[in-house]
This record gives sequence, C-alpha cells and structure tokens, in this order.
Amino acid sequence: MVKRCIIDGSKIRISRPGVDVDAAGEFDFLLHENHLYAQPYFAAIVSKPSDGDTTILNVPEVTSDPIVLIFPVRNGDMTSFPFPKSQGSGSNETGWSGLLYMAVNYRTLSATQIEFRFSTNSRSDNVLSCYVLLLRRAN
Amino acid sequence: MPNKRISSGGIKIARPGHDVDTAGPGNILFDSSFPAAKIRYTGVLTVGDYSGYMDDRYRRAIYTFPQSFAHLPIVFAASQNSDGSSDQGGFYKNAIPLSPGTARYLPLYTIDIYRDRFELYVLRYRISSSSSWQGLPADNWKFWVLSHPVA
Repeated sequence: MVKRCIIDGSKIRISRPGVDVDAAGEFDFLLHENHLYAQPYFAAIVSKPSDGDTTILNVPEVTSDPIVLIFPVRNGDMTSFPFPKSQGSGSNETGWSGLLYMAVNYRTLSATQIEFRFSTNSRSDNVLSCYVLLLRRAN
Repeated sequence: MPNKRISSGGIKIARPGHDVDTAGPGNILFDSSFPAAKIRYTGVLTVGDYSGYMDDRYRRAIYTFPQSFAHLPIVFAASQNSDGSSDQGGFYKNAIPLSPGTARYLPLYTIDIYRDRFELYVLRYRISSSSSWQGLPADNWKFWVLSHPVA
C-alpha cells in the first residue's frame, strides 16, 4: 500500500490516491500544510427586488474580500454558466420575444454585506436571479 | 506558538508564524470547519452538431451524471485549443439587428446545468476578428463537476 499521509510536528500532508506522499509533486497533494485552500463558505440565491435594482446579501463574517462566483438561474432546476445563450424575433420598437438578458454586478460593502445590482432590458426577457457562491480568500 | 492543530474537531492550519488559535480568517490556510468544493466528475467532451434550439449557431455535448445530484452542481469548462491555449472566459456578443429580425445573445460557450446532466454549447465561430483569435472554437473541452459545497 502506498504511503499517503504524514502528520508530525511540522507536516500535515495527504497525497492523491496512488501517489507516495514522500515523493509527491506540487499538484499531487489533497492537503498540504503550506498550501492555501479557497474553501467555499456560503451560498444563496439572490433575486432582483420587485421595487428596485439593488439588493444586499448578508453573509457570515469570514473575509472582507471573498471570491464571488455567480451562476444565472434559469429556473429552480437549471442554471447557465457563464451566461445563457438566447435568441428572439421582433424589433427594437416591439421588443425581442424570447431574447434572454442577464447582467448583474456586485460590490463588497463589508465583511458581512455584498450588494448586488441587476440591470434589465425592457426590450427582452430578463434573468432576475442568480446563484451566488462565496469562497474564503486568505490575505 | 503552534500554527497547526489536529483534534477530534478537525484540522486547522494557519500561515507560518501565526498562532492557529488566535489567527484571523485571512491567515488561515485550511480549516476543516468549512466545506470543500469536491470535484465529483471530470473529463473531456467533444462537441458536435445537434438538432434543437440555436443549432445553427452552436454545437453541443451532453454529459449525464452517473448519479443525479440532490442540489444543482457547479460545472466549469475549458477548451483544449490546438495551439495549447484555452478559452475559459464568458465573453459574449450581442447581435441586435437595426431592423426587424432575430436578435441574439451569443456567449462563446455556455453550460446548461441540471441535476442529472449538463449540456455544453460552443459557438460555431469566433466572436472576434482579432488576429490572435482566429480559427474556430475547439472541438474538445475539459470539464469539472463540483458537488454543491454548501448545501
């Protein structure tokens, strides 16, 4: 059996299955005491409020500068990443039936609040919700 | 001043020189109290012609998960271009005609993600005419499927 784990006073290391931990290369570790892990810590569905374009998401205080991943939500059983494709017929005067617009910006207000701003297009359908995943980022 | 601690509660590792018991979140390298974004499936898909919505603009590949997810998973994809480069960004083109007709939003690629599968759609042509972006989008795309980490 291949030795895959070292735990002693200075090392905490676990290598990939089948890789000897003593001979493992930079990318062969599942866990290494000197590597930084961008662990997810919060997820939520964020939707455009009915009375405006902006909403604030309250999040646990983990980091003031999280990595934010956004997945447009098409419906409860489907997301599209990074953006949905779409097409629609019509004109700029009548609108485009079936065209699906998605634009959302965010900014970190503090370690516990992230503001999301939805932009919509009156001449198309709009994606009004997104799945948000926050990853812990060390200094 | 230990920068690591292993106990029945889990594993916590701080940056070298920081006390694991007092270090702020920004100086923690790993903390088992947070979930892991575990990669469940990975591989390479080849896109091809299909019949359906926007089939004149896109090619498609479908990957059915060996086991359906209780929560929608996270899926990333990256092209494997012949010159060794890789398309991963979400750049897309708005194709809105000035006169009545068909308007389109055309991301270079898009992944429709369901609980039991994902469908990868890749544009049939390059969006930019820049000399560094010549050639058709790649046929082969590597993918990573991560289980929902914070469900």
